[in-house]
This record gives sequence, structure tokens and C-alpha cells, in this order.
Amino acid sequence: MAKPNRPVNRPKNLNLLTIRLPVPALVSIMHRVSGAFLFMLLPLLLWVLHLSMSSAGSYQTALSVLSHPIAKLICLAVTWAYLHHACAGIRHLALDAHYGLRLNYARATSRAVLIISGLLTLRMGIWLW
Amino acid sequence: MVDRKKPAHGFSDWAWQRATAITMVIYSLLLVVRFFLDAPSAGFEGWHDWFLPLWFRAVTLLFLWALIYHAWLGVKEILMDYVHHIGIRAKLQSLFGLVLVGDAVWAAYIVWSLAS
Repeated sequence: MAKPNRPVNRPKNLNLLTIRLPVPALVSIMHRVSGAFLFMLLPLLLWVLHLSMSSAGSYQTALSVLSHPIAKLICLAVTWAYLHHACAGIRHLALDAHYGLRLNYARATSRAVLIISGLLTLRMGIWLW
Repeated sequence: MVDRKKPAHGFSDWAWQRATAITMVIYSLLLVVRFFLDAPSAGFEGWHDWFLPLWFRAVTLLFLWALIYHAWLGVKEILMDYVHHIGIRAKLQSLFGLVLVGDAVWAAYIVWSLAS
């Protein structure tokens, strides 16, 4: 039995730049980051929605705002965040129901989340430009 | 610190997070399907009229409120994980909560002011 007070000499690595995350962990942290990002952009999105629906003049304003290249990039980022968050969330619901808990399935569905949300975002990008 | 005298709400948060998530997935699919079957005609009139039917305004507001409540649950969870100072966490929670209440009122105003 090890004495409880003696520090155990295990290797420790907390350097975020050298930690290689397993795919499910990557999907998990991206789920959180994309959620926080969407929360922060929500007022901006409501603003554009409001502009687009309140009058013909403000609709034109919304169109010119959205045609700016930076606005398009933000749209693409929002699309990616929404799709990633939704796909990772659906995967989460499956895990809640005990589907896909085995390690190889967990890895495969994580990759699927990355690929599906990536491809759909790419499709949106093509449509935007 | 957890106050054991107050009723715990971990399970209801968990359940609401999922209920609002499912609501959003259904609305998103509905939006895509409607966009392809019954695309809004070009210009302001077409876009405005696309949102005008009462049923569509109702489900849109339901979606926005589900999203905002879902965001509230997520914000609380993130703050709990990263902000360990109780006082600062309480202040940030109130601040973000107020922002989200503002978002919710604004969303209702956007969807409801369409009728006029």
C-alpha cells in the first residue's frame, strides 16, 4: 500500500499545445466552444433577423450588411457552429440512450459529426459566395 | 457550494436541455423542408409574407425561446465549470441571464410585430 501523503511520481503534461485530444474529446470541447460562440452572437443574429423583417428599407440594409465579406465569414462561422453543435448534440442524445457507447463506435460517430457538419458548412459556403 | 436545503434542479435542467434541443432539431428540419418545398419569393414582400402565417410565427417563436432557454442552461454549466469564485459567478450568471431575458423579449417583439 502506498502512503497516502507521498506524492506519486507520475508524468504530468498540462501544455495545451502538446496534448493530443482523442477525437471524442475534440468533438466534446468543440461542442462547448460552438455553444458559447452562438450565445455570444445571438444578439447580432436577432438584429439581422429584425432588420430583414421589419420594413422594405431595413430589409435592404440587412442585405447590404450581409453582402460584406466579413459578414459572410461570420455567417459561415455561425453555420458551422450551429451544425457542429446540432450534430454533436444528436450524438449526445444517442449516447444518453446508450447507443454507440463502445469505444470504436464513439470514435466513428465523433468523426461522423466532424465530417457531416464540415460538409454541410462547405455547402453553405458555396451557396454564400 | 450546494445548498442542500433548497430543492435540487439538476434533473430538470438535464431534461429541459434535451427537450429544447429536440425542439430546435425539429424546427431546423421544418425550416429546410419548407425552404425547398415553398421557397419565399424574392424581395422584402416575399420574405415578410413567408413568416406571416400564424402557425409559422408561433413555431418560430417557440424555436427562439427554446434556443434561448437552452443557451441559459449551457451558460450556467460553463460558468459552474470555470468560474469557481461564488460571488463572481453569481454576478456573471445574473448578467448573462439579463442578456438572455432581453433576447427573449426582443425575439417575441420581432415575431409579433410582423402582424401589423
